[in-house]
Amino acid sequence: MTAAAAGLTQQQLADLCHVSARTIISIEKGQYSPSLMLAYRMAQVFQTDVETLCRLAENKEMEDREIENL
Amino acid sequence: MKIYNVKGLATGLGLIAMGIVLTVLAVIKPQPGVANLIQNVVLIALSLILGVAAVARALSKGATHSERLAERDERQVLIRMRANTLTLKIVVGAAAVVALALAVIDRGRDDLIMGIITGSLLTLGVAFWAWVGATAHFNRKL
Repeated sequence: MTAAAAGLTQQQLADLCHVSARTIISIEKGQYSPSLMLAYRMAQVFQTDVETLCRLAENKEMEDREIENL
Repeated sequence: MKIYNVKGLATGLGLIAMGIVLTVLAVIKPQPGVANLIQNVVLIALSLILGVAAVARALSKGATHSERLAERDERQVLIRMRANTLTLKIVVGAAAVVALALAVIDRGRDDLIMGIITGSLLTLGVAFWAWVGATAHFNRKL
């Protein structure tokens, strides 16, 4: 989920979540995984829950498949 | 006038003091040549400008708040941790190379065994204290 989806700029989202814009950029690019607290803050901004925001179910399935293939 | 960042203020005052000292030295003991003059002017200007800027930021609530927020940004923290870990690895590697070099040099003086022992102890010592320091640091921070 990008900042634009919430009608915000990356800097505005960063300010609301008390992190730098660079962190938001890295999260959107999938380079950095947010901490639980940051994910919670972002979920509140997007008015959703952490599971939906971080697509935990999908990522879990992907990880399970990777582990099976090890 | 309130000080919001004591460390920043100290840094700024230190830079200003350095600029003043460089200016005094340049006046008392001028070095010949245009290159030296340019070097002195650039160093003095940089010291004074950076010093004044640091002092101004230390006295500004907004600037200090922004700096502190940037410092505690979780991604920055993680980057610093990883950088420190890598730095530690490099230091240990460099210490090992120096120890080996010392062992080789000592070989020329028929002190190979002592060289190896000294080098190994040096490397182990550096590694151990670096590890103790890094562990204590992260135990406090995390």
